Amino acid sequence: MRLTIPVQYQATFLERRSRTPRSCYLEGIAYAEVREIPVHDVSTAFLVADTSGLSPGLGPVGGRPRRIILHGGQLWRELMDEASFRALVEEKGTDPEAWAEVRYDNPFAPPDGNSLCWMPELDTTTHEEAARQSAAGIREWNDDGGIGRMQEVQLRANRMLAVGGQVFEACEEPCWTVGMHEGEAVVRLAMYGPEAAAALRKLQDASYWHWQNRLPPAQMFHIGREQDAVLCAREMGTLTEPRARRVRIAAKVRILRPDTAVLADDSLAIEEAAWRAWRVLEKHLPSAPRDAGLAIIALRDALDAGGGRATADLGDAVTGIARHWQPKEAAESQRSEIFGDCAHAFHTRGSGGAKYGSHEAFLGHALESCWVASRRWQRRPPDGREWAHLAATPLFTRSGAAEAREIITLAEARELGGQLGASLDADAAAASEGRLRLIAAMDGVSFTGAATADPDTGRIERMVGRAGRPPSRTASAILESHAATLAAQAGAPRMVR
Amino acid sequence: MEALVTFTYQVGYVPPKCHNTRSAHFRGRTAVEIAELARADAAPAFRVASGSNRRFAALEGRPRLVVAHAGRLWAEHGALDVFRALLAAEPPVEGTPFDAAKRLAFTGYDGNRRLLASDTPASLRRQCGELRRLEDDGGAAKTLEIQRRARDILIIGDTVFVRTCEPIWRAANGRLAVSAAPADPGEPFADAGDLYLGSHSACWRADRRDEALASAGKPTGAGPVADGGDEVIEVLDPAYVRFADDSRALAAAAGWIAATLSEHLAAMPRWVVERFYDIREALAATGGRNGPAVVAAVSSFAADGADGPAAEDAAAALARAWEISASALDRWDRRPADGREWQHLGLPLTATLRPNRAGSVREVLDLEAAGVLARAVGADLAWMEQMAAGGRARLLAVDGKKALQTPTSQAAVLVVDRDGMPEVAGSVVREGLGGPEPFTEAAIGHLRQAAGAGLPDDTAPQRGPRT
Repeated sequence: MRLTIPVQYQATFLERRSRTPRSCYLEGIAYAEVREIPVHDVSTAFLVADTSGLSPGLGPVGGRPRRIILHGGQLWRELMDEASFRALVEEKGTDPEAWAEVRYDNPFAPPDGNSLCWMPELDTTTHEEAARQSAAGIREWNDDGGIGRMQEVQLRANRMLAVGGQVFEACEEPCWTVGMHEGEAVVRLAMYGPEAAAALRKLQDASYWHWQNRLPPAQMFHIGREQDAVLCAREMGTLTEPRARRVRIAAKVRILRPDTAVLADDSLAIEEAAWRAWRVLEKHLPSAPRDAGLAIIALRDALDAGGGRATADLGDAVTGIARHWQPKEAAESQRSEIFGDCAHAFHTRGSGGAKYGSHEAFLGHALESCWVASRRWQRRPPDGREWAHLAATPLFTRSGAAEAREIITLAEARELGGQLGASLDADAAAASEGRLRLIAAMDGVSFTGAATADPDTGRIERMVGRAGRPPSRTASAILESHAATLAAQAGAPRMVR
Repeated sequence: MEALVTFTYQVGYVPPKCHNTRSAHFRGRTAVEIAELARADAAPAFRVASGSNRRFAALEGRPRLVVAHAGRLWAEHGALDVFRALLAAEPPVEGTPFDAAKRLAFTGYDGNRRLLASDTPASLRRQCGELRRLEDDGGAAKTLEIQRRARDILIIGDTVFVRTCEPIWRAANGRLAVSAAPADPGEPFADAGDLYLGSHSACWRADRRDEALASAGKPTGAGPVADGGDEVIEVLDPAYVRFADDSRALAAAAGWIAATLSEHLAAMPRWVVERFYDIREALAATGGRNGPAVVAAVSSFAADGADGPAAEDAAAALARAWEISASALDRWDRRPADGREWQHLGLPLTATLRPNRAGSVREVLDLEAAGVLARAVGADLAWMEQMAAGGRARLLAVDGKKALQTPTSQAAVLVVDRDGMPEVAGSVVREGLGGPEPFTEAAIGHLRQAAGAGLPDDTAPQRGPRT
């Protein structure tokens, strides 16, 4: 499917008797090719219909549930039919009203509202108009025809598919999320995947989730865990009475391909809670009581040892933090003694969010995350999506930019397999049962190789590189180095879930 | 002796057709009674001369005499006739003891000469007309202050003495100088930027000049140390040398270590964090002073070594903290066995501090603290000091605080151990505060609480008196 899209791009010009370039926006045409795939090459993974109004990208399409299909190991979200899509990007591309209505279904419109194709607030011009408006006249144009913008449009188009007359956009895995909205706990749909997880790992500030308006993973659940999400919503209601006495389930989901849902939700919840708690609590170390302070240090050490990944130690550390902050009914006085009036900010969060920007609010949210994540971690189902309790210590080996680390979630194994072009599902299944260890090599940006090792001896059994080739020398070296570490640890007692 | 003191004080007034208040300085006068004493009633304690400390500057080319009376030290100020002349001078001049601290009798006001001339309400009205408002208390506040200050002056024979602190040696940066003993260390952990370390670790008792001189060059490394030839402290009676220099140095070091570590805790290994909490809790248990818990906590920190974090600034802070702890402990171990402190006999919980309730209690573990307590209760506590120093009883300073509506109330309670149960062997309560019951109850309560408290680290080496 070929699209002809009006775009705006920036050009610069020099006026006569002037050395300082000036800029203006010009109109151009971008051509994008959307891949067309036969219907029999895809399979429907999920049917979703979110009616909360808070997840418009997962709402129904044309009065029926939205399809999320699987193709090439990637999930694709249904947008609309081809005719409507073409009308949107080719005919209504300059209509601000049209943007508002279909903002979340337009792959050329990033979430911040600014479109790659057209930004209605920009005044565009032409060479002739610019020359007319310039008193001195224009002596030189630097106009590349918007090639950069056009390449960007094509990159976006590469993330789209046309299947059976419908347009699809690459998406992340759908999941349940629990949030508060207008005084009630709402269980609705969201999307979470490697991109969001990567953003989480770059977490530099406790305010990140607030400023980015992202959903905290502590409140996210695997798409197959609707009941757990509802239970979490009820627990939040008990934590934050009286604002959440009702729980509303605002979405319907039908799972047609359960194997495509691999979100390690409990691991993500622990990781996020740990990071957030550390960022907020580290400044409380000098004034914290001894046991609370040592719990904070244990959290730091667990984060360091596991590189921020959800390990058994990290789960214990987050539980240790959560132990110092119990639900309101359980230990009001204890909490106030330990963390002063900071934790109570959590209770004021729902009443207008007046304290959202304050450190106290961040502390309250961090403790809340720890409490929720800790409960989830202790109750996580043994469904093979993560096997942190079987992981060796240390979890990773670093040498310069190269890193080898043990894979402990199915989601990571899928990501690893996707990047290497090999299916590692069988290895992941064996790793989740403790029959081998799955180790990945990274060059700081992406995966460069994988290896499986005997859990008892640490001996490497198989190595895989990119596109079926053997791993590079650097990747092999770091994999062998980590395997040697595992061999040194062989025979150590294993953690029990 | 009754003396007439002239002083100036500030008033506020609003001139006609004005809204804003102006200020003027009026002149006031008050009579004060200055205590007189026979020369035999004051015991000579020190003879001091200093080229760097104005308080102890040589007087007419000779050292000043410091005498002891009523538990306090009094430094020679000058001849009585000169003092009388200064007080009688019109206008009042600087140089009197009243002027020493807060310039109570100040005359120079170079801001507004016109207002300075208006030294009475009448002259002000002559200048400005009928005033809309005049806020004039007649100098009542300053009168009270002058009368309080008069109690710090003593006339012995034909010489005037002014109350002072114990003279000590301050050795720092290659220089040895006479100084006055610093005030109570209070809460050393309160502020990392505070100079408690410098102000206490560099201080040495008057009779330890050689040690002070030896330590003066240490911080700066090599180089000759000024001998301080014009700095003189001659101890006339060793009984008045009470400054707990080693104790203060160790407590200051503990406070400094805690404050320094607290800034880098997030980058410190777990053992450092544990030692930090040990020191912090020990300081809390002793009210910021030295005590067995502090000695144990600092010893534990010093014993664990100085290797730790990778972060450069944190590693530097840890190394410095370790160096300070080793130095302070070295000094503590080398302290003279002269019975001026009995820290090793103290309870781990040295103080129960209840700022908003009655009965803040602190165990007295050195002669300096005993002296402070004796002054507070207004009695000679020598017999209590001897029993406490001998390990036969515990001497406790009890502060009544708000519950008794007497913010400065103090009592000394001596408690002995009778078959494992604490029993009050004697108590002295500040005059006018009624019976001793509330104080003795608080003291017994503290001892019961202390009996249930352990040292932060029971395995830490205990440092008894030097043998």
